[in-house]
Amino acid sequence: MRYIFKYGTIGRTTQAGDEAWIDEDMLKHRSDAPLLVDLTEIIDDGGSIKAGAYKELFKLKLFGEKPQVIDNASGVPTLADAEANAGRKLGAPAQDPDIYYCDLTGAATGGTPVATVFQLMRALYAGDINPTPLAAPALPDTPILGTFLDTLPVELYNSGIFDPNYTDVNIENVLGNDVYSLVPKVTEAYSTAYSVVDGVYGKRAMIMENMGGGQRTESAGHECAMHCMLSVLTGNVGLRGNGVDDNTGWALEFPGFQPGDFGFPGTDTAIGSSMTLLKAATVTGKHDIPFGTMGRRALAAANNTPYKTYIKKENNAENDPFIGFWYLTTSSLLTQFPNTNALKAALCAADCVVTAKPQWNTDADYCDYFLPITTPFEYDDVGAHIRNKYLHLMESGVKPYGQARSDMQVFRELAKYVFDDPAIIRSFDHDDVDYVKDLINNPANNLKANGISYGDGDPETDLKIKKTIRPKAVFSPFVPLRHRSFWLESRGLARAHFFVDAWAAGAYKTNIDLNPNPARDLYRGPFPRYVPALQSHLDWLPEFPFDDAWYDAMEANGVSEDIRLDYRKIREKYPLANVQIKVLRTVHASFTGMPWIREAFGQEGIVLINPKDAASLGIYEGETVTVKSWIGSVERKAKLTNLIKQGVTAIENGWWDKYGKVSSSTVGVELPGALNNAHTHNNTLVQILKGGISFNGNAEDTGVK
Amino acid sequence: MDKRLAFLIDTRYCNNCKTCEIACKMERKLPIGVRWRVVRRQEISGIQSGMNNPHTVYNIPMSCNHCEKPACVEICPVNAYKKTPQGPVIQNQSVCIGCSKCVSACPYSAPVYNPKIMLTGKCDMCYDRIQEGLEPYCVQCCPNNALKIGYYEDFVSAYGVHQDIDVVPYTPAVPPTTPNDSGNGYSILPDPAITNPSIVIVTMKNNPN
Repeated sequence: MRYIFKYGTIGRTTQAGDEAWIDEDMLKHRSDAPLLVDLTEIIDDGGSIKAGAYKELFKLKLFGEKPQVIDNASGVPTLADAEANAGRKLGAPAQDPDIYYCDLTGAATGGTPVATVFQLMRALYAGDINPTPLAAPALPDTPILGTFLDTLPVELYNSGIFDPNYTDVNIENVLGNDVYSLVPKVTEAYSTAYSVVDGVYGKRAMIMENMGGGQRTESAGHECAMHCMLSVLTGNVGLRGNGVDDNTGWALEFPGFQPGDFGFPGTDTAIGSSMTLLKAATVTGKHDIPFGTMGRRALAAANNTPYKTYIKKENNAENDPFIGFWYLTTSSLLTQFPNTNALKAALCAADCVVTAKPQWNTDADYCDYFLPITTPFEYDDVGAHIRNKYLHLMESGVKPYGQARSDMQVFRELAKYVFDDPAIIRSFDHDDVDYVKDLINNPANNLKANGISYGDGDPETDLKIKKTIRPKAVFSPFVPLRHRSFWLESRGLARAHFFVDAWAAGAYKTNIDLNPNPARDLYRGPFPRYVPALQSHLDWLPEFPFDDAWYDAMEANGVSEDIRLDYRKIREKYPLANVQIKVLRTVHASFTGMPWIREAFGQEGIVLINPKDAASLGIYEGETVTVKSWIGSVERKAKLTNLIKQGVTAIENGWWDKYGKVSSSTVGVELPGALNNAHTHNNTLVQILKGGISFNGNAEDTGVK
Repeated sequence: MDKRLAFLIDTRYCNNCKTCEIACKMERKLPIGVRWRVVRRQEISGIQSGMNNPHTVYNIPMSCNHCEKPACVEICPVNAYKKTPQGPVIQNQSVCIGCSKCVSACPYSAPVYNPKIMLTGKCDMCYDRIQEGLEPYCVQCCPNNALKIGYYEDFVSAYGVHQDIDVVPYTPAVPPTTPNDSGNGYSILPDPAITNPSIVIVTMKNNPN
């Protein structure tokens, strides 16, 4: 285990002692927190912001991109030059805007009452615009609960449902005396991660990788908001070499689909629009971390070496981050992402890796801290997804094992330690049931008009009674977390935006680059804008080494002859086209750790081979073979079947290192293409060798430990 | 003669999710390595299945078939097995000596030796649940209604005679590649005339609609 504390990093300024995690420097100089909001519409006669002001947000205007600065000589607030502030380096003693100042008198703005964005944000959460100094967080001296293992019911050990002996995790290494006593440590790692790029101290870099339990639920919007908020408030975005990456699910899950396209209820709007998070790696907007190439890029970043694609298309050393903090929430990185070996190395090189998930799979073996997460059957939420026309009330059916908590609960704990600020904590602090109630009954969400309520006893609309409701096709915009929304874009000087520009425009829409659709724009709401990831087939067209059509395309795109010839050689050496199929037992890798499941669905990974191919290779049914691509090898049992075409092989995706001899993603190359929608699993050319990996002398290919 | 209880296995709806297997293990508290119900898979070519698809897979969730002429009853040296009038073949495990002769004798390999208790056991159609008016647990848990419990005679009148089991006869689609390999396409079902099992298997062939 490699946990390293990074105390006293640059830019970690404090408000009230050394223990405050909030990064005011970031807020003042790299976000819109100090910008002024025109409060004309929401000031009451007494000169105070009206209660429930968020309802009037659409009437607000951004006064201008000018941070408010206190003139040290006179004490009079003035409007400073935003460019001058935003462009300077962190820590430089230049103009220092005040994020807390409220000028209801309009002295600085010619009579217009204003508040800073940060101030307004806190006011909207707390119903209180008076700035409150940040206090030091109180870290607990004693463990919160007993040990995780002690809290597991004994019968679970014997049932075959949960058996620590079957996990990939060295429990003693991963678990402390108490799981949630780790939260303060995780928080510290989160808040103090740093990056070094080209020898330049670049402050922070983290990957928030979330395909969590909230992915297809309404709490996803809340989780997204927390991800965004925390990362900005702690200064984890906005500088070269750092960023936050919603790498797995959300942002990729929802491009181009909006309720206006299908006549579906507005529930999708809430999730879909909050999917777009802070894009990773750079603030230049040049590239994110496409998950197809994530392993190699992250590894290059960790080693501070140039990232190179196979055709050496680009040298991205300048943009690759050192990953200081990697938060894996439920997504199964080492069974799903291509080039598993590179990912393993990258995880080992990262400063601090936190794995938070229900199952203790291979990912947990590479983490510094493991936090047990509930399954969707163990907490309350509202299910909604673009693939579903209905809202579902998700009620917990069983109690969580041990100390397991929902993704949102865990992240909320983390948030509490980051900000010991009641105003901000309040926006995070709901238990699951409260959250569901608030989500549905909050007038701002306008669900009652769509035929949905919670707990009011109406047999036609009460989700608590009906459990599943299809909202009316005609709906008003349903935007939960509207007042918690958040927008970041890498605009110019990479200022993180708390203030939604749409508010200032007075229109309830944002710019959407992807598939412009006026109706959809109308329903879009003030949420983060979707920025398509740079991994569409058009981006990768020249790199797709599959057939002559692609070869010709490479030529048409100016790819040099030697590189094209390389691809021909690759095809000769790796003659079989490999696809990845799911293990039958479950979605992805979820239940591999359960002995009953493995018993029912088989203990060993297989490779499907057409009998004619097998005959030419001299491979028998059930024989151990090695499936080898140019980036890795896996060992499988051969299964001869006519169900697969000649020239194609298939291996199962979803095995853990400990079971089934590593995941198929180990051989998956990093070239997403047109047919696989950014998944690269089906772009891999392989050769099949008789015998296992050790027999073939490729034991090192099994992974980096 | 009274009607006899039987399992209906509707291969049109079974997708090999194995919920029935897990349900059985949960209900009967079976350890790792002991499965009383197993989903068997049969791959055959389209012509053999009577369908236009080039390749077809049948998933056949099978446990004890509660035969009219049960081999286990005949061979058990301690008379642990009994054919009940309602149909289920039940076992008195308290007299079982774990000799496993029934395991060998059953053409469907229904009895399973449990090394943990060194005794043999098998599906009894959830006999206790049936007495209470409940379905067998595997039937209750099947999410696709691919498994049903009912009277054999009713099933036959609705779907065909029991010989329809043999819709997947021995058809070696792929020549064996080793002496121990029977190749793809071998039949997983024995001749039903041996024991007269109380099951009806519905396939696309005998019920194309």
